[in-house]
Amino acid sequence: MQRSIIRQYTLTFIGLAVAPVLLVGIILAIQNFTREGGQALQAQQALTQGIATQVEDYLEQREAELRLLAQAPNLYNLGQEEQHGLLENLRTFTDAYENLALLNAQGQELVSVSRVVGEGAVQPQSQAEEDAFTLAATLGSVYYGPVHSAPSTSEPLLTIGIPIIDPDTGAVQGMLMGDVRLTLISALLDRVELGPGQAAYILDTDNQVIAHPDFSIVENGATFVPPPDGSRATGLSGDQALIVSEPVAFGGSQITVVVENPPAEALGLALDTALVAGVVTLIALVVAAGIGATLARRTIEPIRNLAATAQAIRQGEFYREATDAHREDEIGELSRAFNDMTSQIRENLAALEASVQEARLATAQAREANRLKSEFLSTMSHELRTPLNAMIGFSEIMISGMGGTLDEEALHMTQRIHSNSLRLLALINDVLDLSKIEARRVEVIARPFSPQNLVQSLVSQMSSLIQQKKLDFVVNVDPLLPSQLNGDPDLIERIATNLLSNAIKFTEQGSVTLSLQLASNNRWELSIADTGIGIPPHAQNYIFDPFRQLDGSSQRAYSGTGLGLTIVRELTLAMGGRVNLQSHVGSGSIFTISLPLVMVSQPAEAGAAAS
Amino acid sequence: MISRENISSWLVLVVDDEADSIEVATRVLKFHGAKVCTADNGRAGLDAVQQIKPTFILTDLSMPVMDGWEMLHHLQNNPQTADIPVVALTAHAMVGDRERAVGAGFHYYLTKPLSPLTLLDDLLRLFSTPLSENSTIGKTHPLDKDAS
Repeated sequence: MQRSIIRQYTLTFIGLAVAPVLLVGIILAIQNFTREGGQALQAQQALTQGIATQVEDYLEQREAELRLLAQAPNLYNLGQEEQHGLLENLRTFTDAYENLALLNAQGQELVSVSRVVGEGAVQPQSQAEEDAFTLAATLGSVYYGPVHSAPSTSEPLLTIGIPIIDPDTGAVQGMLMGDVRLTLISALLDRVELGPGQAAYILDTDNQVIAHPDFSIVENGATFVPPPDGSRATGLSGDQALIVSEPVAFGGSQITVVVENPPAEALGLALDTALVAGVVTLIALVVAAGIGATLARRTIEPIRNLAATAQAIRQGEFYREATDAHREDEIGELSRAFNDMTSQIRENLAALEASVQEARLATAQAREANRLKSEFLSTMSHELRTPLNAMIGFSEIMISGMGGTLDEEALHMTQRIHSNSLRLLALINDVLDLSKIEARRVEVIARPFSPQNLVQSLVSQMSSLIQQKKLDFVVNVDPLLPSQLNGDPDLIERIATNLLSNAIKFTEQGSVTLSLQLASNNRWELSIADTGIGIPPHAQNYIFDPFRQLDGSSQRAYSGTGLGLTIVRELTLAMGGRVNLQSHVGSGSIFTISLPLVMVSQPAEAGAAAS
Repeated sequence: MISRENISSWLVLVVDDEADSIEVATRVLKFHGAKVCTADNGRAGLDAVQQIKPTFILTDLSMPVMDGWEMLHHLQNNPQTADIPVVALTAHAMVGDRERAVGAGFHYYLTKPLSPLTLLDDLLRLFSTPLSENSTIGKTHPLDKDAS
């Protein structure tokens, strides 16, 4: 599960969901940033212009008031008392004037009123002001003095002078002067709604702060050179700010309205948008992960279940079934196919188990049958030998004379009993041996043996029969044959005695030859040749089958069990050997037993043991 | 020492449940001059050994009451009888029977049917040759093959 599909799906979904959101968020943030920046600037500019307009309005209103008063009929020529009253009326009408004065065309004060008792007259202070005043008085235009401080209160004041013109001549009679309190502009600034961190203030021609919500700045005579409109610079407060300024011109002088906006404030909305985009992205992330994981789980969980079921079945839990077979989708299809397969396997397995059971039963039955057969053979052997023991024993005692003398006829008949008893014994032995061979119960017990000893034993066993039939017994042992061979001497001796007794039986005159020779580097041969009646070609094929002798007549003439050659063949095969027969009718037969040559590692003491 | 010369001093205990088998063995042994005493099962054989000290015992293996194996076991466990040679004479002539008998502790092993003509020679040969070195004697009746 290194590359779990759930993880892959989840990551894919997150990628799919988040990438566009993130992209849109970034684009929106950039757009907003730009737009909001522009909007903030516009708002700031509008605010600045608004303030400038209000300042202008304020000053224009003062100018209008003064102009109205200056146009009062015959103001200049009225009595001083009346003039004073009119000025005082205006001063008390609005609190905007620090001082009001009526000057002649030369600038000499005729009448004056003041907000603060004892304050000096409103007059030009410097040569430049005087020049400006003179020009205004000459041309009949409005005079704007510089911003200056009230001597008693340090309030910034702006002097406005309105010429008084004779309606008849049009000549300038004098000037109506008013010191306008700019402090009220500060109050006006206070009324302006500013955002947090924003600041609005007003500068005079010399860039001295003349109005600021914080009056101490005005008192201290702080100055500020406004940077180009709408640029970022260090503000009056000393912080970075977006600064917008708007000049308001009055005659030859001007005042400047300045609004500072900290960048954070200006871009606040843009930042908000970015934040929202970020939050949305985060939410999208979580939702996408959730959807991805859920979707993947809904798809993958059945597959996992299926895998677990397959695993369980592999471990032998064949009753397990895929749990999602009820689904209508592809997974359901897969599950149903899987279940079909499992049930098929179950059926096959059951059938297989049944046949295995059958086979096991059959094997057990066969084994039991075999055991019973062995037991039967053992019992048979014992039971048949017991009466034969008596028959052979008694007849032999009688023949040998141990039990007294018999007449010739009785001796003959006893000999027949004895002979037939021995024949029966041989028959029993052969039948039992063959049964054992056919039941594959012959055990080949290979061990070192001496071929010489084998030959001697065979000679001693056969000599009496040879002598009875007056045959020559020739024995040839190949000098190249090792003195010790590995094999089962008992079985080899059984084969040899069978073949030798056959050879003697079917040979009336001539010789029987026993030969042991090395055939090749890995086989040796035991052959028995006779000069007997021989076996016709057609009989050579079945001569080794059980109970087959040449014909009925020969069976009578040459008594035997008819099992000898069968036993020879079976025992030879059991030892990994081969039987070969060469025979010509009338000239004799040669039986050759070819056996694997197995050398003994330590050839010794064979000759000693033989003697 | 068992030899042909002292055959007249032999006292052979023949144990077999078959009367015919006992008679054959008894006749042959008596013919050669040995004294014979008989028992028809292992228990009776052990009882007889209480009374007499046989030169050797010639016993069947399969018998009622007590078989030859058990009798041998009792004889071997008794110090007074452990040195008596016991020759198995049995119709159990199947492959492996001889090995089983030798493994159980029988001194010698002969198969039925015994040959009256060669019994004495076989016995004398057995007593002069250790059983383990003798593979041909007593396996089958010497005339089994000759007769066919």
